[in-house]
Amino acid sequence: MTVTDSRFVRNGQKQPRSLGLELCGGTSIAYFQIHVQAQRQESSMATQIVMDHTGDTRHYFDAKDAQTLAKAEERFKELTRDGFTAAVRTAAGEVSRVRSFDPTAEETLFFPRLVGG
Amino acid sequence: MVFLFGRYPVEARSLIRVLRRLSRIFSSRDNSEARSQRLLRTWLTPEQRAQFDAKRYFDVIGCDSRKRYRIYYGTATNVHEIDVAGRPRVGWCFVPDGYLAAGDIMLAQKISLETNEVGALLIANRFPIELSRRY
Repeated sequence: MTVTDSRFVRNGQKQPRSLGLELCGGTSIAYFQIHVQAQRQESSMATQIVMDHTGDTRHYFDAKDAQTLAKAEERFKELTRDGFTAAVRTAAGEVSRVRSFDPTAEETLFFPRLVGG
Repeated sequence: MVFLFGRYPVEARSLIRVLRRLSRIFSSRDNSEARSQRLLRTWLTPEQRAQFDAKRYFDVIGCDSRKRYRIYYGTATNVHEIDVAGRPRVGWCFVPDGYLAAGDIMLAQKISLETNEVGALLIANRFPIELSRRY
């Protein structure tokens, strides 16, 4: 979730259609507005998710923008060259490996090469 | 602090309390383990997700042999091959290289078994399962 704005609201006045965290009672309510719209914008773009020590790093790109598309393709090639496996999934949750860059894939996941434990 | 908040000690303490709570909330929601679990859950099938929520493990079917594997919550020795009676036969240990959180490791194991079972098992180390531990 992306926190894009925060503000103090007195006497419990909240913005509609937003998620909030009430942190203390009384008249002072710390209220963090989380813009769902911003997240929707992100999700409308294609995403490359790279597993790392932070959990994952996400790279968003617009498949209609030639410049960001080329950058995403270059990232795909670089990661797979380094031994990462690329995978995509269907709406039903089935996963498949991909060996070449697919500009139509909404979400591509990369994980490092496997080693015996 | 006394100099800064001397005139408004109550408000200052309240503000500090709020900031501390905020810090705790966001650090617990956004650490690597929490992020990896969120990612794992979005990539599981609805059946796997329900199983994982209920039992902290989920089953996958190997793409080549159609055998069933059970992936437990964990970072090592957490993949068990299951026989037709639902009993563990043998353990397989393979993980993605580097330091990753448990959710990421489990997701990499799931994808590997579902898309390249033979390749994953060639890399993996076999280990016997102690029945008393999980069964």
